[in-house]
Amino acid sequence: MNPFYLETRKLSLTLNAFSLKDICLGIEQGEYHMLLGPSGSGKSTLMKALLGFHTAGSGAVLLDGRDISGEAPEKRRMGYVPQNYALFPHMSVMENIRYGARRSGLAVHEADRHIDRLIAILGIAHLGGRDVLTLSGGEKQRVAICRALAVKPCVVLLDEPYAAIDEGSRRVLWCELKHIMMTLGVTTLHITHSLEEAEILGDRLTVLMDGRVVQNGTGKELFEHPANEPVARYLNYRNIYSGKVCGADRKTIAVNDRFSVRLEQAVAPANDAVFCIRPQDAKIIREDIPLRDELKENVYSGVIAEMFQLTEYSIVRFQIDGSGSRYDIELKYPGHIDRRLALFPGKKISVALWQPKIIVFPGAA
Amino acid sequence: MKKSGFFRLFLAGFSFIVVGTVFLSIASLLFVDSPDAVIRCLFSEEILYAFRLSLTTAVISTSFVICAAVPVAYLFSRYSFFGKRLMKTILYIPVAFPEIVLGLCLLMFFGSDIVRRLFQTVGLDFVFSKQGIVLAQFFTALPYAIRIIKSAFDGIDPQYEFVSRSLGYTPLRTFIHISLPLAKRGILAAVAISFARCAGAFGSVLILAGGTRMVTETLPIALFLNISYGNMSMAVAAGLMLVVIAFAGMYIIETIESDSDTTV
Repeated sequence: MNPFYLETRKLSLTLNAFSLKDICLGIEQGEYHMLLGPSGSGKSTLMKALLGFHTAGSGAVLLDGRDISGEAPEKRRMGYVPQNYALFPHMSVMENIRYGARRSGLAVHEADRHIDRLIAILGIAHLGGRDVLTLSGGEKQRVAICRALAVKPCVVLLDEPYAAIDEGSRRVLWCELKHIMMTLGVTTLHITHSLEEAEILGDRLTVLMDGRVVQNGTGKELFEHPANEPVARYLNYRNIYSGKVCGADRKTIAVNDRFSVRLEQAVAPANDAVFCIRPQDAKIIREDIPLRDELKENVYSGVIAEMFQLTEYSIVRFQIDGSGSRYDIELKYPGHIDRRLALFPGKKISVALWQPKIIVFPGAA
Repeated sequence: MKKSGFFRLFLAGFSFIVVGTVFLSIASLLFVDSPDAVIRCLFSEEILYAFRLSLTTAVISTSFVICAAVPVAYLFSRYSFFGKRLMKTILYIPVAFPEIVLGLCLLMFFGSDIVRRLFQTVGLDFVFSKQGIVLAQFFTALPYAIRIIKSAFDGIDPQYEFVSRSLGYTPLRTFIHISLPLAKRGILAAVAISFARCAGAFGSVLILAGGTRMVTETLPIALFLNISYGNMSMAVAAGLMLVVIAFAGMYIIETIESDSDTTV
């Protein structure tokens, strides 16, 4: 039995110079799925293909096991919330919400009851007669979601719904949106290029790069085990190095004379490899605390080359003794550590890499 | 701040000179030797006939123009297809060449034996007739209307239409419920400019419909005929009426545009 409610099978399409290639995407019923990727990776194009606005050159789109590739957008029963919400400016809030109900095939009383429930869940009863142009970003988002859900769609597609909302409000709304979708049990595909948003909201995530699906899985799987170097780079692995595999046990990768790492497992069969580690998995060593086993193998002495103190965290760029580089390792840690360790640029420190978190891509150099 | 003030003053002064020149040229119609004669001419049988004919034909032509321009403009705005550029060029040609050439083209086509007989079978004859006035006005105003309405459709975010389709509306229903209401201002502007163009059409009307006094005599034709006869008061009266019609059209457009005006 097909476990996926919404699925694409080797979906390909070409639009001018851009193309989507062999997209295989699977979303389970009731799942909140994030489609993640850098700008220009094809996220919105894929969404338009799912909605039926772009015709696929090959492959298929299946909804609940039924091939809908040839169906017109108005037959697909997919709710759509675009980036700018696209609330119809010549209609009031309530007219926007009721717009789709006329064509949804629902009986009038059933549609009314459903809309009343949505309005209550979304907390927008007070907006009914308002002109949509007077709404705030958050209010517009809720009305747009309500409008999309009013027709009881099989799936809701959200195209960067937080793009027009200020940073402060965004975090509050993330959790609210997911809570609403979970309450209604709606299968959701949500596009974003924000890693934080994807990690917080997504039951499962798919990464799209250059028109191809490069990885999918849970947030933990993705962020801790990126599939390749470009994905790692995109997922904020700021420390990426290429080097030669050496040592009889093939557990060492040497970047240069002064910088090499020891790995937990041997690298086979390649002689070259790329390894990477996230800034938060590089640690500043405190002399007064015993070193944990995971850190013992890769300890380096050097100085703080650059330091950036932000509100929630700090970034240190560390230069290994004798290195000719501007910096060798980037570290990220909570802001209070700065004050406790009295860090400043030029200070001599020791840094260790958390060995289990080192990701290796053999032969990728 | 000071520099910006000077620039603003310069723009205002320059614009005042340009507007003043245009205004004086138009207002010169009012400074005639015998205003009483012009006023009498305004209510003469000939000018009133020309006014009624111009108004009636312009209303009919404008209706046809808008009915034809809306679907064509939407096609040009929303779809890409082979030959689109050529189609647009052909439709916009009449803007670039003199109206009198357009009239000649229409006369050659609709006056040819086969085409003329074909239309005569359904009771239409465009050559030297009032129907010819409507046809000539239609082709004169059509390219302007298409351009204005296309710009209006271009300005509508396609996302509105995508959302409407996702909510179960077919392309036609989406066009009726979303695209048309959102392009309302552009369509109204096209109505105003088309009406003014139709009422003021001269060269094409003269060639296709002929300039027969009290038969196919629209206001521009009346102006032309009376100048030819040396009857300046009648000519000025016809000119004044055309200026009033044009002013009304332009004022409507300005009112529509000022609703969405963004000024510093």
